[in-house]
Amino acid sequence: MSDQRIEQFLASVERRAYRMARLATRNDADALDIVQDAMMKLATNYGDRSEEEWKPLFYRILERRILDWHRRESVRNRWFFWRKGDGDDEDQQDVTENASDGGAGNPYAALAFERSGQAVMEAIEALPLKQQQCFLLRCWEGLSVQETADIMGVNPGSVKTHAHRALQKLTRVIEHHGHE
Amino acid sequence: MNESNGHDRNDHERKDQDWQDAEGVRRVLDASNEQLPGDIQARLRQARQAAAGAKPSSSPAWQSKAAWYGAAASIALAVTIGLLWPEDTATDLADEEMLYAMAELGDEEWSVVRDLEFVYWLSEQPDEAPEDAKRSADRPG
Repeated sequence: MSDQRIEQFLASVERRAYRMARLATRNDADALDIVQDAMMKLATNYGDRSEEEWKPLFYRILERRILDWHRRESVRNRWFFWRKGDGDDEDQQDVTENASDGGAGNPYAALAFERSGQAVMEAIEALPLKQQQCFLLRCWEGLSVQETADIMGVNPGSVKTHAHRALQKLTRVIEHHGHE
Repeated sequence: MNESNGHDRNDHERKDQDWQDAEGVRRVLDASNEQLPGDIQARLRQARQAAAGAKPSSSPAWQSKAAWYGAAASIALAVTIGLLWPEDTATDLADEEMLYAMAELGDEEWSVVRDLEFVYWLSEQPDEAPEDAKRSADRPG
């Protein structure tokens, strides 16, 4: 029964979690690894906690995993800087592919993608990590300022500032592309 | 008083505007999630099922003690590496982030510490292997 409940919970957050990790890493395989780790850790370490606690705990774990990934990348890029760019073309191509087939079967989604979806996704990817994560947790996942602050280990004022700055940048992209 | 009300109204209007702006971005993000490729969906499903089937871990006291010793050793090693790190190396990490990274090192982050150890060891190695160096020294001319 507990297995079922945690599976239902994970099913409810897995796509957003993947998208957050994907935007932060720009890499499918790394994003999947991060989400998988976060799911496993939640289930093994916190599966016995109450269901209300799962969501903030899950995103906290996810956030830590994303930060860990960035740290490793920083170290790797510092020492293997000559290899930097090897994966960029592939990532770029992947973004384009995702965006180009983004609206199949869904007229509203197709319209959004056609107009500015790709530009918005690229703008979110380009945001500084903290702004990106604050915005996604606060404005997409709908967590409160306090919950977002707890997950990210920053104060609530920083959450508001980061989310607002992210939104300003994204709004400029939307306006530029005539969306909304 | 009126000024204060004016401020409140401006705040509310700005907040409303923010949420309206965010709505456009949310729709794009939601749409992107509706179109996840089949292989990604399959991997997510597998990961979810594996996690749901995993047994909660219960670590005995000795293991928890060992974890604490491990964490303490990791932090000590990270601080040592931090102190020995060449100062003129260009760094992308802000000081705050480096401190954050070290403070968070736990048992699971050993691989990162090992990476750091390795790259530090690598940086200390001479450019040529000793035998190559000897050969080039013996080579006439």
